[in-house]
Amino acid sequence: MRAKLVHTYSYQGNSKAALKQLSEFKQLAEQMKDSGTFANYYNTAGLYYGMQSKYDSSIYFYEKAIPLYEKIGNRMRTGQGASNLAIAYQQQSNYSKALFYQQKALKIQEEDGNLSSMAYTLVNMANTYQNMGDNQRAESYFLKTIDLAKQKQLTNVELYAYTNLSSMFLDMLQWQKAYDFAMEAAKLGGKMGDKGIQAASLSKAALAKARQNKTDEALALSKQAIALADSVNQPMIIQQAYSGMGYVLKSQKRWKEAIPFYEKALASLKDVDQFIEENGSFYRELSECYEQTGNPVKALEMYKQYTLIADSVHSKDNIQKATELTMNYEFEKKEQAEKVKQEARDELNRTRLIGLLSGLALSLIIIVGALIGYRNKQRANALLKRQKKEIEQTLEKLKDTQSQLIQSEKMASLGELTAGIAHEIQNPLNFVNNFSEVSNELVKEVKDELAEGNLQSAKELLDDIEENLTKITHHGKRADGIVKGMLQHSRSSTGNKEPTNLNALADEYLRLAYHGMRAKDGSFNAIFRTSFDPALEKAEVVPQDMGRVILNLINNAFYAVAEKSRKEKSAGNHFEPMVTISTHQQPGQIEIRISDNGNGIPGEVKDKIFQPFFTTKPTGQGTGLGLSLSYEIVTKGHGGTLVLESTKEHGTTFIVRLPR
Amino acid sequence: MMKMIKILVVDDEKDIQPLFEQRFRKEIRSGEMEFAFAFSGEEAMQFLEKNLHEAVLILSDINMPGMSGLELLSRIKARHREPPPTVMMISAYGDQENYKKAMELGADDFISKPVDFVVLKEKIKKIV
Repeated sequence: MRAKLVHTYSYQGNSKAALKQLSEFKQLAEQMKDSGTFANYYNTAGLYYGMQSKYDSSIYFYEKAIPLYEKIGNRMRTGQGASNLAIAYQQQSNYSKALFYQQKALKIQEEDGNLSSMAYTLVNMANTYQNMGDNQRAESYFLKTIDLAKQKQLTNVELYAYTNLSSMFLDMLQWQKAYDFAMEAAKLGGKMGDKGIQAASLSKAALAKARQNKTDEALALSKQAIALADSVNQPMIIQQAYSGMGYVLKSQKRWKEAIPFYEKALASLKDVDQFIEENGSFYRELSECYEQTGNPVKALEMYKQYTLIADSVHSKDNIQKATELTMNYEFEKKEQAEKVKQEARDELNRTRLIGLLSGLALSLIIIVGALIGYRNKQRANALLKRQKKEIEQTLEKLKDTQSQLIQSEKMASLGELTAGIAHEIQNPLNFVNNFSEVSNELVKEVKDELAEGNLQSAKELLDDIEENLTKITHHGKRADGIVKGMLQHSRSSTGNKEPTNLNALADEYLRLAYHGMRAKDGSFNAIFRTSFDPALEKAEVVPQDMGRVILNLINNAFYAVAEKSRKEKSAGNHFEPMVTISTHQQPGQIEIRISDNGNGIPGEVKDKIFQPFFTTKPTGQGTGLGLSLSYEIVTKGHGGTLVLESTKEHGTTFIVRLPR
Repeated sequence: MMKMIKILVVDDEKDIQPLFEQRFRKEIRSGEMEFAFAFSGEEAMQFLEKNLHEAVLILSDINMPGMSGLELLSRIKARHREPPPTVMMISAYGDQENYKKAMELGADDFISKPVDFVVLKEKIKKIV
């Protein structure tokens, strides 16, 4: 009786009460010092922990119970214990142990000629092999199951085996076998009067035929499936039947005809659950149909749905699950009936066998529960595998996108730069043009002076020319540097560190940033102050990378003061926007500080500011990558630090520190 | 003899001085023109404060750190001096917007960089 109470409490979810009964059971066993009672106690404990999904404990108790049952020669309980233990091992994915105990159970059931129990054990074994990826053995065990199930008229077990087999072969792309078993399932479903399963199975068969390019047969099967599905009016069945037809038509490139079937399939599940994996693939297939029939708007809409679902897949094989639940339900009913009979017999004996036998009956029910859990686990494994693959693909895509984004960030800041550069280059050009023209004139004057014999004047003029030529070279190089800087900025970094004068680099990029800002906004103006430490040592940096950092920081500073300036102006206040860049030689490190007197950065933004894609700029104005790239360049690329100090209303200072 | 023209050139590029001195060497030598140089808007304002009636023509760059050429222009034009000096803007930003703005603020002319000194000389002669 105690065993029964434990089960009852366990089923009611009252594990505390169950545990209390269990401990009283234990005391009883200890008092009686009887192997049978101990075995029953262990067995019940194993069951209890199995139901709590505490498989380690469950295994511990079953492994104690089984040898005791063997010792007292209780073959039936030995077999059942072994079966349950196998389920616990399966839950832990310990398939070899699971198989070991399943074989043990099978052997006993075989010797006792208990064909029904054998059928259940065999179907379990088939599942174990399928889990292990041994499809060949799985097939052979399913076939054995079918054989026995036929003999004992366990139609639900037989149907379960057919359904599993056809799904397995569909996964293995073995269309003929998938078709054969689907047809068997359909036939049996029909015989049992289960039109839902019949329709689902016919759809599977149609799918297999379509993959074999046997269109006429596929179409005929699909039509049958649809007729049946319509008559049962179950959303999942309707979905499977209609999408099956859609698929058959689509594989024939009959895009237009396929569309209404997909639409209906999707509509059937509108009220049920949109976010299942299959629905996702239907949307994708439907999108393809719309694309092929020249309806890009619909195609895009469907594709969006597909990605939406793909993102939040629950992944359920609903039809299979439905079949399985039907089967389990019937199984449970049968077991209940058997339990009643058993209890009637036990009543006659009026012995503690009551406890034993009801325990047995409940063990069988546990198998059902475990079967469900076990099938779910199997499914979860498949899902995991699929998701792993998807995640790997997504990762690849992400890496790809990331590099594209980095490039686009470069190009975006390049765009800002080009405007600055176009103007900036006019300044050196002004000198190059004019100094060379004026030198030309001076040469003529030199000739005139020489003709007149004025050597002193000629010499003075030649000095001027010499000076001009130096200036021309200087400004020519300056223009060259600007263009090179632009090219370098757009190119991927070569990553070569070289001794760099950071004062010159900062000055150059400050000018570029300023002109870039001016070019974008003609009314923009700011005072910029530089305070370059003349004692600054050359630093080993990648110039274009560090230039990008400085440019980013200055751009942000300009942006900040421009924002504040606009605000203050509209409030009628006077505001002098100011950006300061300074360098400092410190013992062991170089410091670059870029300060603005903008609005400052609030605390919550401070925390996120170096995160990729974080931006406070309006959409389209910032990529959100500027600071995260800068951060990466300074820290990872140069082993330095990039920090910020900011006070509200007073502005922000970004500090780059580079070790020597 | 022509009247001497006093010209103030404002630009943050230091090489602007030797350039102007050479390009206008004949005019300077003949005493036709006299140049002064300022390297920022602020410096230009200081110069104008000190030499109130000296410069009759101011040539100013627009893009300078600190006080921009346009700001300088508006300050000069706002000062009570009759007649106000002629101001000619010189900018690398030869776009319509800058031009319009300079004209609105009262600029007398507008030249874009690189400067064509032949044109500049003609304009100076015309203005004065």
